[in-house]
Amino acid sequence: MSHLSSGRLNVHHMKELAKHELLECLDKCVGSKAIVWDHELVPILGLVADYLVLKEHQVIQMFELRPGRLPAMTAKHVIYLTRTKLSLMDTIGDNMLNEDKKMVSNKEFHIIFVPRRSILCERKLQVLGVYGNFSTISEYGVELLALDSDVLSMEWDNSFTEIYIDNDYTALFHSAKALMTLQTLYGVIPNVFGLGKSAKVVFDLMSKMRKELSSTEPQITPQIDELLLIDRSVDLLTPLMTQTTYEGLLDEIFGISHTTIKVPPEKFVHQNSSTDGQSCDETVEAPTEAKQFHLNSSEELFVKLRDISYKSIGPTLRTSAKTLSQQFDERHTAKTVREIRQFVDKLPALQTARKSQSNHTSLAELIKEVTDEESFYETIHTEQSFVNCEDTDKSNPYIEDCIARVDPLVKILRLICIQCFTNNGLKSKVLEFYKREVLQTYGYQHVLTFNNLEKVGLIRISGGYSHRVYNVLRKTLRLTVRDINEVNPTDIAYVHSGYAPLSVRLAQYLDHPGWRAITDVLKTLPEPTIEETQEIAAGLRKRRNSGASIQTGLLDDQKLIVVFFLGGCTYTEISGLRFLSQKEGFNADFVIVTTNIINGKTFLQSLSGQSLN
Amino acid sequence: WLSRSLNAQNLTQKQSYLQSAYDSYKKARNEFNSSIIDENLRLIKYQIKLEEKFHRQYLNLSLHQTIKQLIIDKEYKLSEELKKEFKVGDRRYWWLKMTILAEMSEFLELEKF
Repeated sequence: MSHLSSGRLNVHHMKELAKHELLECLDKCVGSKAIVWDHELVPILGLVADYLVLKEHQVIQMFELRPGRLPAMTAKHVIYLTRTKLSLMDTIGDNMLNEDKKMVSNKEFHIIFVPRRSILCERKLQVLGVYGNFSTISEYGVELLALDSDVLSMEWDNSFTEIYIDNDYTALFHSAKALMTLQTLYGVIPNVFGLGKSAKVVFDLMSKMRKELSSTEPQITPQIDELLLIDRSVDLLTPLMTQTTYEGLLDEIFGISHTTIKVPPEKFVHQNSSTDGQSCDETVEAPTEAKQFHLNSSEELFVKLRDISYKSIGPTLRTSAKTLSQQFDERHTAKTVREIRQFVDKLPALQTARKSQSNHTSLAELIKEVTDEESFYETIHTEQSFVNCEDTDKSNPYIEDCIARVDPLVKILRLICIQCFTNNGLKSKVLEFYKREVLQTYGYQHVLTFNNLEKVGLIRISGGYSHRVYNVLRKTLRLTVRDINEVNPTDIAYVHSGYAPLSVRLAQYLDHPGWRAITDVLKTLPEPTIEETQEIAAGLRKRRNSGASIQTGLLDDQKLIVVFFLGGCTYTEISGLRFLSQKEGFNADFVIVTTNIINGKTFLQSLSGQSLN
Repeated sequence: WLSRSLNAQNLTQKQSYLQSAYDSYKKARNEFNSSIIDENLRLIKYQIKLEEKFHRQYLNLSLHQTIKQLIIDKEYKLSEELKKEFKVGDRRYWWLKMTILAEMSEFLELEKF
């Protein structure tokens, strides 16, 4: 996992801390252990520790949490690792009640709640009559998981829905907690900026927590210069737009969860039998099983590919294939023993490089199948005309056709929401027309979907105070860029083929020329705006070009900004921020923190609460 | 909140839930939603009639799917009737009818348009 420590901020500490805490929880019970997993936690905690580490701590068996009897166990302790969900408590209760009395008596049962124990869940266990069976109940408060060297996520699904539909601020509380952890590791962040209601909530919580700590504050030179809290409701448009970066498209098409992607295996099996003559035996798998990949920056090729537009995937793959085969050809030119030895030393690295080359080529082929379809082009085209404010005030023929064709409802809702946003609300006639069409085609139960979308403001009737907001935003923040060069991008707008994510643009303006210059625009966004400083003991203040520069070397002029998305962020936003920090004349690096990673599909899916297929 | 009971299992129960949802939307002056729910109620009544007539499952289908099924069963008149009753847009209706007819290679019927 060395790739985690390669970024500006050594995220590896974060992971080590999480691992350490997990093991501490486990070590409380002495002797052999069996873990019963809540299955959604498996991939999440997979980011923290692998099986080998657990084995060292005397974990001998692992099971998935299922109703009914527990499988036979030899371990002395049985540990439930579970999220705080009432339905899961039922399952646990079911487990316990089906267990023999004898069995129960010679084992010890424990529950570890992730991330926090809740009275409600404990009460539920009491009601079920199994509370007394557990000898300890504890919590494992993991907050931030390192997805990559510059991306930290709480992996908290549906956070936006919880905050805005259910008015449940738990996610915000944990965000504040997470920031406190971040500050204990990397020092207090001097400047805080924020946009939106939840940003304010989080900042207030943070300040409160800080007061409680006051005397025990860690004495570390701050490594992070600025914190930017962005409430998802400030920028609802970006997640709806189709992502056109490599990683974004992979997420749109197959879904990336916890840095792992599952793709249909046909392509890969087929390709193994017919590759370029050389043996490629290691990846043959049963064709029924979906193929899994881990996507992170430890893979050199993926680092190159992840943030680029789909239009330049082909050329990039071609050049990397060329250099690769050149390197392989070196063995023919190697004459002396020494040269041959050098080549052999490189061999393992070359082989992994070749494997990743072939994997990504297949993935790119899969993507190309989708992007070559006419409907993909038309969708992008329609989105682009919307964000450029063309014909947004009447009902759109492409949307009508999509409904008539009974395309996936998510796609239609996305387009309607984009149109609604860019037109600053739709006329009630247009909106009712859309609604009626959708309800008649997909069923009346989606009245509720529309209700939720209205509740968060994704769909609304035009008029009132908010008119023309989008047009102002578009002009002053240059959200749309004409004739964008997607192969050699010059602006972040390439990530959506011509539309620049509002949230990223705001981050860009924060650095230069500063938010003071765009106060008019900020006023049109959901209030409030925060601009605060957190006081730090004078001795700890970071001096430019001094102490810190020894560690960070040449990069010391670059500010380090943490951008925290409350309610989720997309891969394109991450790509956009990465692009900014590499851009000439822009002197800041970003670390992205988010409650979870979203795309249009998962975003609307969680808002609707129903299946949208 | 009454419309949450949309996923009630029992049919009569479902209808009564919908009725009360309709009433409360009416009270709240949310005309659009009340008209939508009214439509839904009427659709269910239609579907019950259709089920009696053809002994085939129609309930729980959306309006679109209902019309589709009718065209597949060659009940063109009935599908026209539904179209009128629920004011389905021409564009959508033709699209639907054409694709299905083409799929079933009912070219004679297609030419009649």
